[in-house]
Amino acid sequence: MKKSLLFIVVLALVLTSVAAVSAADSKGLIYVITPSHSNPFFGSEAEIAVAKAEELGYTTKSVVHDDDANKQMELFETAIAEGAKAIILDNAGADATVSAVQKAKDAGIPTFLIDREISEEGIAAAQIVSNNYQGASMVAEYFVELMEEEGTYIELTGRDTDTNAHVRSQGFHDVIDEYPDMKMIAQDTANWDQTEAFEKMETMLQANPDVKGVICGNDTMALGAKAALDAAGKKDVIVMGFDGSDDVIQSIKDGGIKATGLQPVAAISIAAVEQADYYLTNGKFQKEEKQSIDCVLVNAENACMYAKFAPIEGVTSCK
Amino acid sequence: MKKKIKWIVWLVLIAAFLVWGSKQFTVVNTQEQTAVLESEKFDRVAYVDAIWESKLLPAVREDSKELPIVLDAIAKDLESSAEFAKISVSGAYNYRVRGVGTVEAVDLSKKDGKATIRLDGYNGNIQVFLNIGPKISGESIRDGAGFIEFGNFKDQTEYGQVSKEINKRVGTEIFEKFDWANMIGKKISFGGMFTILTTNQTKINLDTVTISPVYVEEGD
Repeated sequence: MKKSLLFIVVLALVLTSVAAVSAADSKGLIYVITPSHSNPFFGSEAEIAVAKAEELGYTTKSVVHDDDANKQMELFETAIAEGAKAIILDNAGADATVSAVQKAKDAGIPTFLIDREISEEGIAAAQIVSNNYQGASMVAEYFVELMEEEGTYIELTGRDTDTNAHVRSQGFHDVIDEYPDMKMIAQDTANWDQTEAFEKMETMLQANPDVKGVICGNDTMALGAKAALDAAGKKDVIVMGFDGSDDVIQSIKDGGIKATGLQPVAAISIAAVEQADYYLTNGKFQKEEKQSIDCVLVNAENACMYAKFAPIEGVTSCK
Repeated sequence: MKKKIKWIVWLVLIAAFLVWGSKQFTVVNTQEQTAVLESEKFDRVAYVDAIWESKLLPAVREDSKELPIVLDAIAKDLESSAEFAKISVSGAYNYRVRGVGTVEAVDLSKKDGKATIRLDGYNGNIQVFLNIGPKISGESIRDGAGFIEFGNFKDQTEYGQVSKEINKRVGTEIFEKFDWANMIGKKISFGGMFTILTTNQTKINLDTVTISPVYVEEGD
């Protein structure tokens, strides 16, 4: 009994020293803070950032703020307390995030923003933004093309408190509204949510049974809307989403949803970690603060070439 | 007596609070508020008006590359053409070029009309198209201009709207300038921008270039 106790103590000591050695080998801790991973978009961006940071020799912590600015602030305080070297952040609101990023900056910790921008400059080390406006405009142009420049459509928008919900809607309308024969017959938020989109679409269909197209602020809402349309036997309605998630890409391949704007998640997460590493190594910023990365239109012609928010290496044709 | 003192203390406190409060907050009526918001709203037309004659046209007319030289470099490989390009953070290669050529074909079946150009002084295989409107898409002109940067704008919406406004103006102007259906066989000179996308592209297109023109003139 005593022997086994001794063994456990020795083992514990050995393990602790191994952990200490590997921590000493690390270039430091990088915090990755994103919205909830229940949306695969955010799960992917966190996963890719973590993988890149670990590849470059950092230890990582990946946590979620659930789009709650208070929780985000608490996570920042924890990161500061734990002596993080850098923070990679997909933020919880353009205005509400400024104070958290400032707090980290005051503590000497640079924050590299991914995906969404904040409303002030000079606080974050970088704002590597997915160009939602460009992506939404591109989706809208294809939407107008498939609609043959005319007909009725419904728009499902994202969560009202999220900047990107408005940016995408603006991107859609700056294109579609140029066509006088395109008529929006209903517009409502489904809060980025698949179930809510399904239910709203069901209700909207009762009032607008002859709708020709549905344009959605993200992919999960597009999947919900498409399911409701299919259930109502309206398989020909043109549905488009935004994000480039694998579920929607599968739907496009199956002839369901027509297109999505693929956000450059992989490219952005990798760039953020590389720029953080550059800063930590060289003591200066690699690029200008505000960087906009363009989205790509994914439709039936190229859907087979994309997975996990990036092109599949070596696949150059869907024929 | 005690009650009186209590009242006085309360009054002093309330007065002090009101004085303090008036310094903490500015009272704005909703009409003024709306006016402020309107004036802060980005005026894309005014922005484009301000750069058109003074910066954008000179950048294309006087500070652009000869298209045949750029195409020869691209045909070699994309990297060889990097010296002629403004490469964006997105990895897009944006070129500002000018050239002379003959209109070989015109496609007006869609709103984003295109002319096929046989370029003078070029014998390579890259096919040259010209966007002739009335609708022009993409960000080539904005991103190839060389002086319109994302960081100069409040957000991506403003930045995007600048591109849309430039495209709108060019699209209308170029489309209306000629009876394009009757331009086949005619010689034109033009200047504008084109983009080769690299990020997240499964295949980088080096077979064709489509130029969004800032100016097109008949003759050489």
